[in-house]
Amino acid sequence: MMTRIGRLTAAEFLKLFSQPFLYITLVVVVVSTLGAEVFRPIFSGQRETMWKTFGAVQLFAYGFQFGLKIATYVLLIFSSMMFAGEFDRGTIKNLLTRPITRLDFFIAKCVTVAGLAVMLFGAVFYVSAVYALGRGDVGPVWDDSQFIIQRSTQEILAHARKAVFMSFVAFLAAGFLGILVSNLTESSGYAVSFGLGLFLVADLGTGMLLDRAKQKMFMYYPTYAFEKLAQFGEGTTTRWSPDIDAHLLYLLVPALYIAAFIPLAFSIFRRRPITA
Amino acid sequence: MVAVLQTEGLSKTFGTFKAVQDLNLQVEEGDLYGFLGGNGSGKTTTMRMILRLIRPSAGRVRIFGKDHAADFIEIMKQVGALVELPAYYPYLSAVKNLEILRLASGGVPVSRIPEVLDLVGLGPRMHDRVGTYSQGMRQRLGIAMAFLAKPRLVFLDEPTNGLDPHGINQMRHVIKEMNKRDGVTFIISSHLLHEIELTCNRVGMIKQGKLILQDKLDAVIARTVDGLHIGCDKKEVAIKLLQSQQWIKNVQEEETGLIRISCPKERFAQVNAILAANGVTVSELTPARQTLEEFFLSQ
Repeated sequence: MMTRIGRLTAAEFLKLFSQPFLYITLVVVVVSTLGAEVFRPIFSGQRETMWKTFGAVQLFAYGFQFGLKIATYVLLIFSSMMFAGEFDRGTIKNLLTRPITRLDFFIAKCVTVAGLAVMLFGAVFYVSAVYALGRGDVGPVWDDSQFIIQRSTQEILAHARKAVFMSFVAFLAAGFLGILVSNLTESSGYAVSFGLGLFLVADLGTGMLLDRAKQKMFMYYPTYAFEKLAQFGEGTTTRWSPDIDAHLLYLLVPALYIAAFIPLAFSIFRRRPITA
Repeated sequence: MVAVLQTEGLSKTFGTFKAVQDLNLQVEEGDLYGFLGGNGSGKTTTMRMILRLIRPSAGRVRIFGKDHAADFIEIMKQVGALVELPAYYPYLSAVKNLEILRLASGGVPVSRIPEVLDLVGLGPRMHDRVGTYSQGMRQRLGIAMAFLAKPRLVFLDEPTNGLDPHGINQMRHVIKEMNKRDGVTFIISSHLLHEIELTCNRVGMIKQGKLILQDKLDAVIARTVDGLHIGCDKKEVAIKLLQSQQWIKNVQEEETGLIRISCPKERFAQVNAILAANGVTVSELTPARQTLEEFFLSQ
């Protein structure tokens, strides 16, 4: 079974990397990440002085937060097309008349989405980190009114690591949301529109919820992680939310969403007649 | 003979519509099996059920003597299929399209890709994007996909769709060659009766989801003999005489000058006797057969 999944995953990546759209979206993600790092400090009204320059972690947080948002949309687009695209073109019947099971095929698609998520996440991380390190100081974070070290280099880097980790599971959950949506229709156009629409509404809606309710939405965590990290870098906050930290909600909530999306998507796919 | 494919009571119902009813197909090793039926008769639904693309409402399928639900992976290693229209990734070349299926199939060497593309006549354009192919070329690619893993059993659903006469002839040749040389069994679904007549050695006919006939092509052709062509003098007398017999139907003079009648095979001698007894000299008496199409429509 593992061999079959491995072969199918290789086939999926072959398809993925042959799509010119992937490279266009990668450029969009990179430009968005850099754009956020360059322009957000300007628009936020912050100024660099001879006593205080922008912190690398602060810039990293600006870039990562926006870049990851764009990458989430890209991931949703690709994952929403994963199954619907095969039905749309009819290629599903070519694949399912090979010596494979539907479970093999489903797992290969999931692994591909996870791989794409790692790739996009890595691209955002790399671009934002390289720019941030090139322009700002890694640490420490100074309180420029009292001239004391507010946060050591090790401490701010630990926060950055935590923010990155915190956002990844939620980012992955968006990919699996796409897989679920992809199994609801045979049209890739509808699937992408529905996936993006659903995510946008949920994301915007999350912003209007109370804190306790927000914490139940997986899309809340990347924003939370990097808003907090930016605040740590700016020196305007001193701790993570105790509720989220104590119960590892940043891990638990997106993981629960993934655990719901995957079996639901597979149960739809398994029963589906292939009439494409 | 070993049954390569056997279905028992295979049925499919969509809501209240019975698309396929109690189908008992039997395809033997080395057969070129023509699966005939009009549009919407249930051919493609049957193929989809056999290939497990859709679930049967009832019945079972055995391929190579194995249950297709229990041994699906083992079975599919030796099966190739083109179901309805060929499907492909238009932004990829034929080579890459086949590479994806090669990976999905497992155990197929890379060298098989150019080999199979040459076989269907796509060799010179194998690196071009499939989106730029004509309909006939896409059909050839679909056939190449079915042949990729050197299968023992191939399902081809309307394989000549979109092919020009040269392409049809070439595909027929390829199918017959693979059948003769490698012993590949083919199940070819089509509504083109003439094409089936030229390619297959066994046929199954399906009408409104029911199998109405399954036999060797020769036997079916023998059953299409439904009358006589008669060459004689005194044609007007002969026609009146023949029309007066209740068991003789459709008496008509053809452009060739022969009289065409429909009657049971066992009474051919009686026709001659009647004409001779009434002073008509018979110079020619040959069996007349329906075309496969006429035969199919009469069922």
